[in-house]
Amino acid sequence: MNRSSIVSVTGLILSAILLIMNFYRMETLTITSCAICVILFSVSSYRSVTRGEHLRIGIMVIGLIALMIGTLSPFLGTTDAIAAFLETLPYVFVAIFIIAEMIAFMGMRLDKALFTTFSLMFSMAIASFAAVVTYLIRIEDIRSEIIVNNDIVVQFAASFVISIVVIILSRRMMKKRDIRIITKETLLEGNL
Amino acid sequence: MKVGKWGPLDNIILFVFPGIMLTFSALGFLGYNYGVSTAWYVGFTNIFCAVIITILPLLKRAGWFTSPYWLTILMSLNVMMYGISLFFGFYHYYWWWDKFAHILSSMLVTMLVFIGLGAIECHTNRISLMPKAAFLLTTFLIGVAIGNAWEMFEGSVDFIVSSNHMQDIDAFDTLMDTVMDAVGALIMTGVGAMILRKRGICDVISEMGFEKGMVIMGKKWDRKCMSRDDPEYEDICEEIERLKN
Repeated sequence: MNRSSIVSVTGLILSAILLIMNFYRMETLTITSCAICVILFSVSSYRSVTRGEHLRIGIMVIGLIALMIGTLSPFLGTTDAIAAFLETLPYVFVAIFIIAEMIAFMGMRLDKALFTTFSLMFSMAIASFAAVVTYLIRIEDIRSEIIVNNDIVVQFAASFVISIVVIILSRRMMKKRDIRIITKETLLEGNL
Repeated sequence: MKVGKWGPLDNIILFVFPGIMLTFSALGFLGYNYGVSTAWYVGFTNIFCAVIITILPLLKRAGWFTSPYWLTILMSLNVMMYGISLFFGFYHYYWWWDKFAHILSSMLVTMLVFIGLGAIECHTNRISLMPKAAFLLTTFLIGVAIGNAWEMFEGSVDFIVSSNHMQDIDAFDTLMDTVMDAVGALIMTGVGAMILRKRGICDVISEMGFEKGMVIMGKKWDRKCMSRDDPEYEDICEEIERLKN
């Protein structure tokens, strides 16, 4: 098995474990990121093992680290703004992971501007899905006003701020490497 | 460069529509609004709506982008509906109004995203948003993301004017809004998928009436994807100049 395949399969197993752990604790914000990552790692594992299309390891490892920090942070007992920032940290990386798979496996071609805009937008969409999952799973807590509007808006804002920071950094990195257009070849191992 | 002629209908869109919103804003600041929203909240929201609906006409006035009347009017009416119904307290008196408004707005926004992405797909050579599944997924996610941005805007206005209109009440409001935004985006993505089953995205976009501006935009976008050393760089610059004239 290729190194990329090993990382994909490891990512799949780890994100599945994190998903189960979060289901047990009912951490609705991180359940969403974990569930999306399970799907993404399944796709990358399948493509890597059966078709020999190996996604760059860096994208998967960064995504996995962010996911682990985000999903394990509730177990560390963090509260308020710190918890909001840590729990929403994976969103932007998961968003980048989604776009990377769309480019690598579906054949999309994006320039820097679209790549960063989509990263921000997808990250915001994931924040919304996390809110929808919260609505579905923790409806009793909402009824008893343990979760208020402000909690949700703070999560949205935290994920937005993190996304902006990550996107600025990724733009600088792309500028440094003079990457103008991101294609399948850019994101698959063994190319460029 | 002028893209599209400026007519009387444009004057109505640019001056009368925002004028109506500013009137409601003034009435709001004076405390004539209905429902539970504070005067400041209603006043500022209507000013914001007035600003938003001037964007498309001003872009046309500046010659940067001409959108067809149906789109500009539809957009303006949707934004106005929000400000005016807030003034009359519809959100307070009718439980279903908020949900209805969110689904409708989300559908409109997702339609704009669909058109925008379609324009990029059709008029650029170096960028590709296809296959259809990727295109539709992107449309849906951006539609949902804009709903998220709206909730952040609502929260920040509430925070800035200290109205405590939504901050400490149970989270049903924000969460239901988010759910409705996702539903609206999903419906419009479904409509987009049905359209794309029978026709290509470029056929749909070419019938919308803002073809020329989009062609130039696409060429400029392609130029951004090239380095100056690229052999095609000079050709594309010449083509843009020719299209502008």
